[in-house]
Amino acid sequence: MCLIVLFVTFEFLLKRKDLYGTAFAEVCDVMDEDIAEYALKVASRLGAGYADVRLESKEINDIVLKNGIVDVASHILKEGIGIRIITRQGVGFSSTNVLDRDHVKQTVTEAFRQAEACKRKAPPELSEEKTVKATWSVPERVRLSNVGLEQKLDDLCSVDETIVSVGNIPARIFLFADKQTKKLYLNSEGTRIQGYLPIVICMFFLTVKCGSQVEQTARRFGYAGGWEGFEQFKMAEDAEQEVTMLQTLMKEGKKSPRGTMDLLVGSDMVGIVCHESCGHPSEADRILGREASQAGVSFMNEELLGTRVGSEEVTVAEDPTLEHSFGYYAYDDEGVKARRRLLFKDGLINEFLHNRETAARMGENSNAAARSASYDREAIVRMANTFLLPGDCSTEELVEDIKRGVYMKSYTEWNIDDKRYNQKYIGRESYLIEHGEIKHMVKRPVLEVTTPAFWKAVDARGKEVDFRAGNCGKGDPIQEMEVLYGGPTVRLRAIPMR
Amino acid sequence: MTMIELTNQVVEKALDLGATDVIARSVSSKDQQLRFSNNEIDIAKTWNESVIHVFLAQKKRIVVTEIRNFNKIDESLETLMKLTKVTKENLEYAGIAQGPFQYTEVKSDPHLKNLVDVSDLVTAAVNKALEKAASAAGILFLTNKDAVTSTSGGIEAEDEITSIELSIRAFSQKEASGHSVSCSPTLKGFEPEKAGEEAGELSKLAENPVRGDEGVFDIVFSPLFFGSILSYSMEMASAFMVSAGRSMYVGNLGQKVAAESVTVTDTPSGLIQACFDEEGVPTKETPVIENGVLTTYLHNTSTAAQAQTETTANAGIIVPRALNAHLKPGTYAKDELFQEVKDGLYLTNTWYTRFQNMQAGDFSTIPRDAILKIENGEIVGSLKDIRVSDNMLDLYQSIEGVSKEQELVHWWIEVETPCTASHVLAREVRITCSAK
Repeated sequence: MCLIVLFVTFEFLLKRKDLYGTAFAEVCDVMDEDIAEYALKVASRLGAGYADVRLESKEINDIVLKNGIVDVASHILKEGIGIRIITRQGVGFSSTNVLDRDHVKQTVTEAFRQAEACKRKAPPELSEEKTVKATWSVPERVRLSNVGLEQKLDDLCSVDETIVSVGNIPARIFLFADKQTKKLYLNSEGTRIQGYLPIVICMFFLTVKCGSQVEQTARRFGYAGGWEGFEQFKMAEDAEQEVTMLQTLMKEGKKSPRGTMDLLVGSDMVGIVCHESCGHPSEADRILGREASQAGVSFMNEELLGTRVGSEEVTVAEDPTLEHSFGYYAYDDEGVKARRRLLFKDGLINEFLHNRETAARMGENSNAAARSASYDREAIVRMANTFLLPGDCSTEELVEDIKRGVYMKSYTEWNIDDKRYNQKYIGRESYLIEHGEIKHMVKRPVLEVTTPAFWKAVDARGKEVDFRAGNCGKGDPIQEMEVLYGGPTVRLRAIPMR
Repeated sequence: MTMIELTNQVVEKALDLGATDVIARSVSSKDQQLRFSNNEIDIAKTWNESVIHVFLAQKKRIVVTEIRNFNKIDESLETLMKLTKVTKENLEYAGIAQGPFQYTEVKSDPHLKNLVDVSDLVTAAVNKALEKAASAAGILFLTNKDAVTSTSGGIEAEDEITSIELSIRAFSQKEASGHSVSCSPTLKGFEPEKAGEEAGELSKLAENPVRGDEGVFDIVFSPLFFGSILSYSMEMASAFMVSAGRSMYVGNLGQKVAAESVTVTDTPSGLIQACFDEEGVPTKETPVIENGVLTTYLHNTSTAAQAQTETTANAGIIVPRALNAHLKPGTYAKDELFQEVKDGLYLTNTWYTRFQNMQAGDFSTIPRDAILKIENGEIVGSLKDIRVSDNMLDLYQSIEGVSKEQELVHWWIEVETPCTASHVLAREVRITCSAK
């Protein structure tokens, strides 16, 4: 499930190349490798067949600005260690935030005891992966540690002041967070990886009034890197456009047409469809039933690999290595090197997302999809940056031969069933298309279709890709994960609308 | 040093540094979880964490932090005080609770505090489910927390919270599942086998589902489903959410927001039996909806002062929140509710509830697990692939019957606020489906 969805435009993500990994020593103190190595030694002495250790230090700064008032500012340092142990009996996990030897020993012992308590019929297996020694970091042009609260507040408050002048906005919330995460990953196979990930997050939620009508909008912005990310968000401009658009919608929006018609879907919505209707059903842990009780299952299975789910226009990539992307990582939380995955390729189901456990069960290698939100959560199969590859059409070309249709540029309510087959999207910014031209705004068009019906109807793609930042929820306890999704504007033929 | 000594030390130090209001709240957790799927335990986890949550005001400048390294308390507070120098004033802030208070006795269960091996409880639940189903997945979670609060308002309070919960989803076929939970603050009240049995039985009833139809139907909601509706509603009753526009209760205080048969109370007598809120105010029963009328929002001391009322003991220091929701039981027996339905549905669970507009209450949610067709009071078949697409305020208004029998439910993020809920009959609820 995706909890909150907001917006960011990062065209440059697909083009830029920075020198990743070179700045590590400058920004990241060497973490206490001794305590992590000690944890591994204790695990070995206990007789663990496999152990991995994640030592993490996360500095988090938050601001809540509500209706022009700073509700609260916070500064949190979250440090701790998580240990996973695998024995013939099962998998155990334990964590602590007390980083002395006594507590770490106790925590490892507890993880071992938990593994033994699983009493599995067959021993758990992990896929065989290369042993790695590496460091990585995301460069910051303006280091987050050099930007004070005062500047962050000034920048955020100026966004609020800008949009207040635009219209009647009785309720406004702006949230800001930056996180600087240092990670040390060790496993009993010899892998040693240190990483540094700085991220900047903003979101707004606005209630806009026009006469007796009320509309709401929410967006999220996310960037891996330094304070320069905030400047690239252009949040004031974006919020102002949203308010103006909603005012126009309330004043001039007409009833949306019903019936079967062509549909133009904006990047905003293409992204969430990629996330919900390609990314999630491609998660191998769902396919194998491990998430069945909470985040759900998948309509896909191993037998469907290579079968058609969409038109030939549909290739969906999942790529953690997009530089400065919100879902960026160089190595996953099992120490596997990140790479691009093509989940759907030319309309065929091509590849699932794996961690080492699911890969072993399907006789594959991990494709580095193991992610954990914190040292105290197990690493499970997650998305990173999910997007439809672009085509070569301009928006004008996509529109020109639509006789009558709807352009859903953005969406409000959305959801999808837990097998990821039946989804619903309601348009926020939407327009009528007639005789190849975009006409007036229409109110809340409803798209309620199955996953194959959506993907099979795609007949053309725009050439420009936009991305949104999102916050994806999965796991139990819930792990909210930074992700990005996007794609070009696409055209769908003969779609039932209401 | 004991935790109360530590939190007192935090308060004193912060006051010395110039803070005007301070709350130090320590939480020491020894929680356990087992996750299982395909009838086997996938992973067993424990957490051993101690955190001091600090709220600090310097007049109207508000900052918070969490201290995990107790050797760095002074350093953490000094950093926090520096933030008060540069943050902006929260002109709405109206202070914290002034104690001391008297508290009820700590309600933790020593049996749960001493429970070590919980795998047998999972096995028992799975085996029961497998009497009717082919496989089962779920979690067992054991909560064991010690909470200590010290404040500059003269409060020193200590609490122990225990709870145990099982969530189990059983599958008799690929698309035939049933979901059930057992949640209890005590081991004695925990019934994993009953939950496993119910999940298995529902999965059997759900076999061979056919695609449902669009339309308007009378619906019997199970406690698990209606608990989800209650949970979302209680979140929207928070004074913070109201002021943020994220609530269908904006402007509705004193108004009729539900049918007369609906009374919803926030209570400390549910799954989370906390003696005091995050400010140290003794928890209490707070009717939020009484006979269909919205009587209050959920407040902490500051939001209450802004609204010229009293705190409802629901701090969240920044965002007030419900502790446990309680739907007043009705007069119907569960079976009698079904008898009231000529052509309708029995919905046993839901997920992925989303709003078009939180103020208007327009929303949809996706029934999952057993979706059962009712004709003339009898279950006559199983459906799939439907969605409830309606308005939440209208849904509350359309409630015609509430069962006497109740269940305590809590499930993942779908029933985030633990709820004591009934079976509920609502009339003319709109169902939609994906286009054929």
